[in-house]
Amino acid sequence: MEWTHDEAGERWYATGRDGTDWEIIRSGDRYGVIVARWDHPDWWAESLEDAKALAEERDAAPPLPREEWVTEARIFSD
Amino acid sequence: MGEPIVTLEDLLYPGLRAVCVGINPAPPSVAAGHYYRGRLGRQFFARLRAANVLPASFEGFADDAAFAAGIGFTDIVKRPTPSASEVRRAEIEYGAKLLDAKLREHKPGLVIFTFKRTAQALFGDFVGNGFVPGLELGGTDVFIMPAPYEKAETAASTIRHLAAHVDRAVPRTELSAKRSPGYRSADLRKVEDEMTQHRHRFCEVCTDKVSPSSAHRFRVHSLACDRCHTELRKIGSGYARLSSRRSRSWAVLGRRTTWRSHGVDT
Repeated sequence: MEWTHDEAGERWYATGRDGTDWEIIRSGDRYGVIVARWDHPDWWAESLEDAKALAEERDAAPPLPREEWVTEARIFSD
Repeated sequence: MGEPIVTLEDLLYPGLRAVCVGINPAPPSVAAGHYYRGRLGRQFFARLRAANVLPASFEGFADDAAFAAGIGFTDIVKRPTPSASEVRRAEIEYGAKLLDAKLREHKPGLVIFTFKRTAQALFGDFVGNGFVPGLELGGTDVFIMPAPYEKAETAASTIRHLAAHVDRAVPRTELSAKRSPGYRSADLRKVEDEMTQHRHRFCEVCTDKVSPSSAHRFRVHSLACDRCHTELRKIGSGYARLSSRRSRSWAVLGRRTTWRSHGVDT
């Protein structure tokens, strides 16, 4: 994917093969990958390269057929 | 011994046209001091504009403009976490009660869940988004915002439903004299005080008991234990500088605030 970054260099953006918008943010010494929750990272990586690779891997993965969908996991831990 | 944590303040006042509810603030947004930053965040506000919830153009930060236009913001849990999986069940249960009290107090025209799984934390599993039959909260209609990755035409269709609802049921109102961010009525303070009293011997992050030696400070100043305080310091870049920043102007802090009783200023 073609990544661009903002002027401050704290965020990177790319559009996936199906038009999905991906965003990477730096928070401290980690990099968050955002795709589903507007401003809340879905995954974290130790480096910008790892974050980009994660986003690109996810974007390249074929969609699961509906019969393989599973119920969404709980969002909180016990 | 605990300390206050930094989070985004609730932007609420009575009679809002709508309130956007998230699960909890993202640390980068807390560091920035504003709700829903970044490119995807701008898409969120673009959807609100498309639904005629927000004005077509504005200056400054989008959450400020939204608030000025009668759109509020809050979260079920005010503690910022890097991952939603770090939000605990006890926090959700506690935050749900407080959210219900806030909504009944402020009586917004509509509740917009910004993320489906936020609503599922309260309502359990349900199918679809938009106006889901049977969902209401605090006596208010509920709208589930389609996810950022949803197909554009599908999301646009859902947003048209939101626009129709807004035009019909959520008219633009004159800004209330009670619209200041820190406004809380006596009734809401009573609810919060009761909940805080009930939990004052427990850390609101991990729910572990707080030792008697730290109970006094815990009760007066903080709701986090030593261990959680240490962890919380690692998130939110502005945290360590809180004490010095608090003396600066509101513009510097943005919408950041200290967190007490699960996010409501005390």
